[in-house]
Amino acid sequence: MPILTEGDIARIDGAASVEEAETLVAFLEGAAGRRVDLAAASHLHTAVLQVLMAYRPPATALPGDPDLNALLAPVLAGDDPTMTDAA
Amino acid sequence: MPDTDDDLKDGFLAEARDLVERASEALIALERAPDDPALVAALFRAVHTLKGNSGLFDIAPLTRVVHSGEDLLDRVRNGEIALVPEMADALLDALDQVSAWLDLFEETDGLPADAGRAAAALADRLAAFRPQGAPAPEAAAPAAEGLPGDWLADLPAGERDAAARLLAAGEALVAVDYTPDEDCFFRGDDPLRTMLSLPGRAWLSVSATEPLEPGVTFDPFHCTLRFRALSRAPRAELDETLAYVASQTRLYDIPAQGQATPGGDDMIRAVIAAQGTLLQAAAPAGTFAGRAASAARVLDAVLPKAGLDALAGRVGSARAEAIRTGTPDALSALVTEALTALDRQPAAPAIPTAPAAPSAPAATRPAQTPPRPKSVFKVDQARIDMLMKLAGELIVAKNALPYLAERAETLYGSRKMAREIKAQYEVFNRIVDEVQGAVMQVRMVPLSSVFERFSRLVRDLSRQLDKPIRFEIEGGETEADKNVVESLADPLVHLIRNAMDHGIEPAAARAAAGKPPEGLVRLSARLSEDQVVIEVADDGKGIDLDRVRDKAVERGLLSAEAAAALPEADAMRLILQPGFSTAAAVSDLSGRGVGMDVVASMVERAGGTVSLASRTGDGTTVSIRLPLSMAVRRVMMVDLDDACYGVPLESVLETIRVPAGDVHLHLDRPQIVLRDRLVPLFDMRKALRLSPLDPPAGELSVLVVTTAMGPAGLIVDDFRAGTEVIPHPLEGPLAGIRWISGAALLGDGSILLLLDIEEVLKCRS
Repeated sequence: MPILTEGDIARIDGAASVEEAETLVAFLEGAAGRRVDLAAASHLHTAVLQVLMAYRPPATALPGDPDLNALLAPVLAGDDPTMTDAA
Repeated sequence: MPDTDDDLKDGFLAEARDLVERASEALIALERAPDDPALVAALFRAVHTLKGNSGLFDIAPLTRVVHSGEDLLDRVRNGEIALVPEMADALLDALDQVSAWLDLFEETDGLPADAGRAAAALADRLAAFRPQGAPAPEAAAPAAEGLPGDWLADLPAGERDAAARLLAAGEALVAVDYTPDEDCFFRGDDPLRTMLSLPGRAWLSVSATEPLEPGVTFDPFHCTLRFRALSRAPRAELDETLAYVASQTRLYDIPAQGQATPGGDDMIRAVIAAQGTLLQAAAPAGTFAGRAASAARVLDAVLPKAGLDALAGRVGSARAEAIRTGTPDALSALVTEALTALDRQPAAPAIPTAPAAPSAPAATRPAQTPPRPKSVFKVDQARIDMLMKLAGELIVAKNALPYLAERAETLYGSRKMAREIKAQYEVFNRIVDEVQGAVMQVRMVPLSSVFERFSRLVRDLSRQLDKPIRFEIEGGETEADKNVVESLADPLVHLIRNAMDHGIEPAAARAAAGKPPEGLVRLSARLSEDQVVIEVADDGKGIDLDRVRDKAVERGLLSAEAAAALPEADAMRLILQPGFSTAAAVSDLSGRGVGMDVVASMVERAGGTVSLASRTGDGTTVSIRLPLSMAVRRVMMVDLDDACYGVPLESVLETIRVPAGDVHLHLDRPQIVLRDRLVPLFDMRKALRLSPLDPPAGELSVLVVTTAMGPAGLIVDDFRAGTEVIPHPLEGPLAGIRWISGAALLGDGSILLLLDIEEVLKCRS
């Protein structure tokens, strides 16, 4: 199970598959102020990425993987609204 | 389990081809009766089923084309649009493409890299037929090369800058714009993974195509993202990586900016430094002026590129100075100065500022050809065969040189000329060998292409015979000539059937013998010098040699004592005898009415040999040795009645000269004793109905050959050299002569008849 929830923090461990998107939505919908810990995430399925882009939860840690990190850092930084620009 | 997969694939292919055919027929019928609803329904059903089936395999482009066809037909079926001839053409073209892809999929388990683009084109063409008044789909973006100027406009400043910096650096890049289909997750796509694995990726950004609104209406499986990336990889490589999502991506080539940035280019530095080395290098005095001029020319061209125009202006005078003084000093000084100047220039190139520049250079700079990726292309086999034939002719032509050398020496008395021709012959020899090797390499295919088929055979037969059997394949990667590999298929079927049917015991007998219940049939291949050795081994009960001997006596092939005295290896070879296994087929020595002799003759026709090894109780191994290539045969030439004949070298054991007095008559047949073994002799003159040698030779030339009956000695007039020939089958009335397997052209223009030893031996009586 790559998504482990501990209290208000969901920890993604390893490669998150497409099914995890729904789990993550359910978790983030559960209560306000929920956070994610991506330190151990090796890959995020696009659907999971999309959830993170939609909910933009505060991240306690960004992925160690440099590619994912570069992609997610602007998304989860918290104050940049451009991610939702229409193309 | 590969079996199941293969079954599934075979089933799919068979059905898909059938559906394509049915759809094509329905389409053609519809052209005559455009309003027949039954035909439309049949057509729709066929395409619909095809789409459903294709989804089982990783052939997205095919599915996509069929899907578009289905959409279109659905509208036709609902009466929204009428079927027009153009539409039928488009559909037929799509079906042709599908059919071509099916063939490729069968062969290669995949679709070509460009399939995605072809699919997108066909899908667009099909989608263009729409009811009048219906909105056209968002304009299919042109395959235009130019990157839209506002490509990055919607991105946050940080990312936009990173991309702009890359674009401004002047490298050749490819911009990738990937907007995944909304339902792509349901097809198992992971666009992010695709983009992360993009070769040469230099920059990547993701954005949403519509505002992502969290909440109950948010559908995490509805993809509304857009990926943009810049890559340094060649366009072709990217096309390949993105083949399956080609219709959802747009690629833009951004050519390199040809102008070398001052000081930043190692290449220019290397070129200038090389001129220095050239000028200083020791060389014959007479060549100095030429070298100086050449160095000057290069400097003249390179220095302006390096931004050293001032130095470039001085090249002419330095050149004149160097040529006048006969020393390179003036030019060398210029080189040194240029190198120093280069070092002084700033290392980092100044970045041209305008970030919207990317599309401009495309127009002005010729696109740099990206390095081509390693490519594979299919060639009609006839062309390769033609090459092979020409390489063969080259060998024959090359072999004419030694004759020429001989004539030079004997006819014209020039020994020196003869030696030179021979030296030239050696050169030709080497090159022709390489040419032949290279062409042969092209024709090489792995044996696994034949081997894999047998898994199915073994599985079916195992059930049919109710014997659990494990099938092992070894060395499937071993390569051999395509024709050789194909000629193997039938013999191997027989051998494997034999092994399973008659080699492997029923489970009960195995248990009694203390063997594992599961029988083992192993098919292996390996290379041995210029031959490929294929073995079919089983761990069954082995060949009962006593029975073989009894059978041989029973069939009148041997006397009882000869049979008893027959060494094991020879007794084993009896099985390969025609007339023997026919009888044995009724018993359980050989297989299902297919004799081992058939196998042996098939292999021999392909220029190979069969041998058997067996241990009672432990199993049997049949080995087939085949030449790697069939196009060139090595033969031993022999003289008979002033004519020359070729004997395949692989069947020649040795050549000996025997005093006529050493020939014994045993059972009225001439024999000689060779290393304590009796070898039967056959007079070739007699066999070929030639007049006997007059006077009879005091010393016989005996060619010892292998036959199914063991070694045999052929009495010939004399031996000649071995040679390589390209055998051609005989045609016309000559084709009926069984003891000649073919003919070949020799280097001196004469024709060599190739003997079929087994057939010749049948002529002996």
